[in-house]
Amino acid sequence: MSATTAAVPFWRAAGMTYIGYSNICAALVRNCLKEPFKSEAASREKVHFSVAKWADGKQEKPSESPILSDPPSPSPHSWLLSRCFRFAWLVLGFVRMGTDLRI
Amino acid sequence: MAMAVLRREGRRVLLSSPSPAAAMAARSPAVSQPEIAPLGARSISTQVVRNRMKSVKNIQKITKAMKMVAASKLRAVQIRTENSRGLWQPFTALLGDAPNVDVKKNVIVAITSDKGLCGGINSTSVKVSKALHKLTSGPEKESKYVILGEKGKVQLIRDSKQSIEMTVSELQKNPINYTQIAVLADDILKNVKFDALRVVFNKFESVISFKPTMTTILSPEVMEKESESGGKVGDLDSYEIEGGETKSEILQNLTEFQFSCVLYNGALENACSELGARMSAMDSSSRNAGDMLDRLTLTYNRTRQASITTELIEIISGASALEG
Repeated sequence: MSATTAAVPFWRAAGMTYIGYSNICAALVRNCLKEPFKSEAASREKVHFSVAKWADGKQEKPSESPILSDPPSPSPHSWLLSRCFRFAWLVLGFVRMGTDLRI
Repeated sequence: MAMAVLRREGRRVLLSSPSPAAAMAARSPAVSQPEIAPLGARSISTQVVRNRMKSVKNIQKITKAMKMVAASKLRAVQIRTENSRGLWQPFTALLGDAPNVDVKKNVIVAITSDKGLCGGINSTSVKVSKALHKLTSGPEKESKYVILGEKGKVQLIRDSKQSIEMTVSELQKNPINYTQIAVLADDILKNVKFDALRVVFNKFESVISFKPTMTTILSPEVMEKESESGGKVGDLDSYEIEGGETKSEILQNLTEFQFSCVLYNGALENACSELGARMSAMDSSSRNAGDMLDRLTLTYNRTRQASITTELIEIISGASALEG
């Protein structure tokens, strides 16, 4: 039943979690919007928090939100980008499937 | 406490006879106040009471303003909270909720607020987290904390410093959005080892009622084990999987997404509860300030009338002494 998978998706192999992957896809989709919706959507993208790891009861130096909120600026022929774009639609379909599975 | 102020003044001025003044003050508050005056003054001073009344009135204004600010913010956040509930409900319908799952590594994610003056919601969250910690620690099990918000950190530092894994603050600098919580959830998933995540927050039932709630999210491996043992998760086998993915992969994606959705909803519900608690705290505070103001006004009037009466007595006795 839980056989070892032959091929994990490319993003899992690159070390991303599903959340990280869907975040990037969402940012890409938001980038495709036209004004004025684009600026409205930009306010939904702001990421700010300060996280500090603890070790042995001591707090280490806090760091600002660790992951960039914007994806790297796209270059038209980047392979990863084009696959992300194609998979963005698959992801949205996945989310829809998740909600449709509601019994 | 106006009495205490007057008693203190009495002790300061009448150095030669402190006890009679104190005894008089304690004995008959209703009949007549002991004569309190700064050295050299000839009439009773109402300055102390007046100062106190001014500061209490200012406090009342401030707390009223804070209540209105919280009420206006609450309206907006409440809508988003109710909308976000639809994110995790399908997950619970599909995968069920297993609060009594017995695992080795528990991580308790406690969501608290950064700012204070919000009543007791942070204390209840911390209490629930501590109880959970006790429940889930044992000979082979251990549990750690991930704390969102300053108030929780301050309270848990006192006795559980060793169990804290990570603390997060400044969450509410911009309005909470899903991207921010997703980045945070990603961070937690990457840096914290867990078998089960327990998210503790205050669920917003209504403006005056906030219930501490706990949601359990299992790691993909534990979820696999649960699915093999049957129950709701075991029914997943009856679904057909499209695409080239396996069930374990889908479970992994689902648990990560579930964590992010639950954390988003928890953060929003806690923010709502914080605003509602602040509203009621500031409301009771302004009501108390109003009561205090009434009592002070009575004291002030009594003192004022006593000083007028004293002046009149002096004048009349002086005049009668001249006449007669």
